[in-house]
Amino acid sequence: MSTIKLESADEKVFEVERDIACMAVTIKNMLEDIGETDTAIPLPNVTSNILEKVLEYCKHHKEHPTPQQDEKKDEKRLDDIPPWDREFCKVDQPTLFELILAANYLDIKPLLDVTCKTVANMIRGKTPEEIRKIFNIKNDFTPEEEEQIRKENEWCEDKGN
Amino acid sequence: MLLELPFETLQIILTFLNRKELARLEITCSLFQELTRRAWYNLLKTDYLLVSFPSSSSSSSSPMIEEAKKEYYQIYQRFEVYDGVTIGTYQTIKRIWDRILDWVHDNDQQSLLRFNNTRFKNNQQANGLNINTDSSIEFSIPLQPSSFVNPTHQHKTAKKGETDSALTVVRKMQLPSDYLVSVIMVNGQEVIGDHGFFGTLESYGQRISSTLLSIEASHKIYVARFERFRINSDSMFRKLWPITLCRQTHRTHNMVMETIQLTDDLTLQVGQIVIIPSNSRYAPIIVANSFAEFLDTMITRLETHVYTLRGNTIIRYPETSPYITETVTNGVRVKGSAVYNPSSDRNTRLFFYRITISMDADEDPSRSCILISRHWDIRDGNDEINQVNGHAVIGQNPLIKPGTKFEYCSMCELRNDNGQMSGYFLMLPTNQNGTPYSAVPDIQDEESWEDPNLQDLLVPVIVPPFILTINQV
Repeated sequence: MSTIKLESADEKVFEVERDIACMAVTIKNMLEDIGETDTAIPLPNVTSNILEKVLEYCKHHKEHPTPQQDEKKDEKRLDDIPPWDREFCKVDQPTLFELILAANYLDIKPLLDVTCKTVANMIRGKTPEEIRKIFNIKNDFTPEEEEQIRKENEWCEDKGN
Repeated sequence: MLLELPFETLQIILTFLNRKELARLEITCSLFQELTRRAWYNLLKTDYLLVSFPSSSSSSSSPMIEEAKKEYYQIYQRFEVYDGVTIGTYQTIKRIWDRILDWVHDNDQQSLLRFNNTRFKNNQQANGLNINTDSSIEFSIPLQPSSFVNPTHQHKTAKKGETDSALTVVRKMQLPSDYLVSVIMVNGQEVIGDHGFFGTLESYGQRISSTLLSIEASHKIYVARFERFRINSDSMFRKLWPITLCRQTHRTHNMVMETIQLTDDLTLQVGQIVIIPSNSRYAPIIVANSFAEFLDTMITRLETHVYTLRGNTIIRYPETSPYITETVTNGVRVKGSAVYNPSSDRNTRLFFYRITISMDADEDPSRSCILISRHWDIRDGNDEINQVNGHAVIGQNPLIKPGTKFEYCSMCELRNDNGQMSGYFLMLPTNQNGTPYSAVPDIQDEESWEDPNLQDLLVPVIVPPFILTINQV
């Protein structure tokens, strides 16, 4: 089993199986470019604690591949996060956002999806006020402006089901 | 914090939100208001599978994004709101469509792929019957639902500023600028051919058919009606949105947009589907309580064979079903069935019936015969029997010999919802060329059938009783 070395922003080196590292498309592409190497691949955008999490995610999913689902376009959106992934995403907000950034940078689509879904789930079912509070968003509308958008969007507040 | 994430990443998060969540997020701050614009465009794709606008270009310039929410709102208003309450009709319609697609898939694979029109070949062999046949029609359609909803394909083929008609788009296998149902219905039309999706009514050799309209087409008709009839603001037509059109009669099915109080005992409710009798003295007739029900009725009819597929046309007459009856007398096979035509006035019920008279190819040729006269017993729901006698059928005296099939349609009115038709034809035995075995009066002559000399020679062919009911589903 061949391994490669990855170096985090804070200069910690992780030795990982090549196959696991290659779940990150960015790393896979780099390896294809540079070929066999003993040098650690620098990942200046990812800190060691995040990289550790990311590698944990990749390792788990390499060992427990998710069965290819039929694409049911109808219900693709909601709470279809697998249990392990849901536990994995139970982290504080800064860590979650850093995971999103890392997944985006390293190009690991499943991780990006699952972390973004987690954020979407935090928004789900909340009022605008609650959303502002959860994410510490500053309301930069005047009361009149806010009222107008509220009116404009009233129809989205489903009265039926 | 959340808003420090790159925009492209925030956009991904927004793709997991529904309209309610988007609308709430929009209220939180101006940045999210900005970001949700594109999300509405995405939502049009996920919720309504709509990927292009009537006048949009393929570039992601902002006007199109601005329009997305408005477009979404309009579709939502038309299909998901009933009396101010959201009922989520869209998913229902989509499920119905899936069933339609399955049905078409299961029933007529071959002719879907390539169809050369040979229908009524048999009829033409019958003497004198003149039904227009279409020249060869060829088409190919995407059979997989996924090919309807492949946005990447769409973007590749869409050219800037191109405003294709829905039909042209379908021909190019692009998505038309409309929501799913009409996307597929328009496709459905193509599958079915030029006689429309909602069935073809035949009577006296005439064929009429209805087609489902796209949003643009229905809008045009709605506007045109105003201009043509100088509709004033309190007219009923202002509140009726056309959803189907019969090309031959210009009759439409309409969706009620606002409650219409017509008389003390007749109120049209929002969402109901109505047709307007051609005689304006009569009130609109309610054919379904919602668009979903309307579509559902159609697919149920397909699935229960009330409608059948012949060649590339959906015909409102069953080929096989509890509603069709069949019997053989003296070697002549007669099939009868009827369908309700909900377009007459409210006091009578109009039915179209279809009669097929045939002789099996291996039947004894000496049993060949010519139809001379008809006798009908039309029983209505009150068990009153109305008898009809007459010369010929639809003015013709068809020759029935081994291997031929003569088919005709006619109509019948009842005063109530249910009834039954039965009767017999009197046939003159002939040889295969239609020559009688003994001298007879001129059978083409209207009066000839009452001639006792001819009467003595005639043999009856039974028409088995078939049901007339408005409740045929």
